[in-house]
Amino acid sequence: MSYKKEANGELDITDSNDFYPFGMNFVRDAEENAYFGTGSYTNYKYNGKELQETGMYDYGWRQYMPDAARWMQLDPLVEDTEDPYAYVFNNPIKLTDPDGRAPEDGIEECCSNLKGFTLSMVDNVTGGNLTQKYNDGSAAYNDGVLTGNATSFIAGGLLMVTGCGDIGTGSTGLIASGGVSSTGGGVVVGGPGAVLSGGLILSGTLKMGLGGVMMYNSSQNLKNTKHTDNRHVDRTKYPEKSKYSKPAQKEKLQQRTVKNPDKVTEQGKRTKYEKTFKRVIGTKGETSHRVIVDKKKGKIVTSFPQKAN
Amino acid sequence: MSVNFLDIDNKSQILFNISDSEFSKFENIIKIFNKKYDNLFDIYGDFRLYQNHINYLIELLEQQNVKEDLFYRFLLMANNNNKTLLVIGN
Repeated sequence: MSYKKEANGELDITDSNDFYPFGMNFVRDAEENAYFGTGSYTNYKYNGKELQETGMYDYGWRQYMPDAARWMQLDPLVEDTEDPYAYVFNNPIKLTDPDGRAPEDGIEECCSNLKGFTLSMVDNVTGGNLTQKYNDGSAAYNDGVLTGNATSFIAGGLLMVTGCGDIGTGSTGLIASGGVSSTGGGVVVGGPGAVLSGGLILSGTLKMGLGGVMMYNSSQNLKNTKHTDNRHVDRTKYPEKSKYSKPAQKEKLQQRTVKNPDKVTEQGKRTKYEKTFKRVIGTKGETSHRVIVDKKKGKIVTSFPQKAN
Repeated sequence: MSVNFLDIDNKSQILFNISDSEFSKFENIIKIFNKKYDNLFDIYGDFRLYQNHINYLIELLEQQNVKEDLFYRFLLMANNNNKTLLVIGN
């Protein structure tokens, strides 16, 4: 549906469309004719993509033909699919394709992100390992875990500051109540004051403890990402290490390598996954990818592009 | 990819490096070394090799008859100069 704002502030619907699942326009009554104009905002129809004069939708990487329910071009990530022309695995009810490269499950992604965030927060407070137990391997989940770790690190810091403040206030209050008691007759007044201050000191200590635990756990959890980022993404550090040509693809490459490896080698406490891609993924022409996973923790120890064997 | 050996007092220069393809030669030695030193030799992490570690590695290399290897010579040199090595893994 497209709409514009009238001069009086009301919204005027300028175009509305109904679609069949694969994007064919559903022809309606004459009074509700769908609009089509070249170069107009009303051309953004199925999935919010622009309808071209050719009758195809422009998805960025590819053109989609809603009448044929297939793509005009081959999948740019052709090595990862068995049907390079099919639209969203022929399941448009559940999946969408944001840019013509790969299908996405919007609802699942949102849930994965939230799940990762919540579990990492719980982990950072309790010191548990739920994030690995329920890891679904999706990029959204990893994003959620990362955000959770960063948030709990900040929250831990804030808790420590508040705890420190409470201890300070409590101590001052304790000294003051002592003073009141020593001036005589103040025992009754000073007593409750001391109890109150004691409580504040206790809560302050607890807050500092919890804050410290959260900061420690989250910093430990953030560490693994740092290893690969420092060595195999950052161009300024470790010049002798192999680097990802496109750092943004790091997580996707990690997932693909672990999910569908060419070779798996057990190395004691770790598992080595290797996969050769049909394109260059490293700055020095590397086409193969290695991911090392800690078996017990289920965490990625490191990952980097390497020369194909 | 490679494992780099640096002098702990002068980290700006890489003294020696072992590439992945060469590394397979030393897998057995590293395995024995790691049994004794609680998985210290981690090719994906950073760690320090002190005199005792270097000595043990030299011993192991001698047992395996790889005296002609550059790695063996490098370790001997490090040992003679009383160097502590910083190893930067992948």
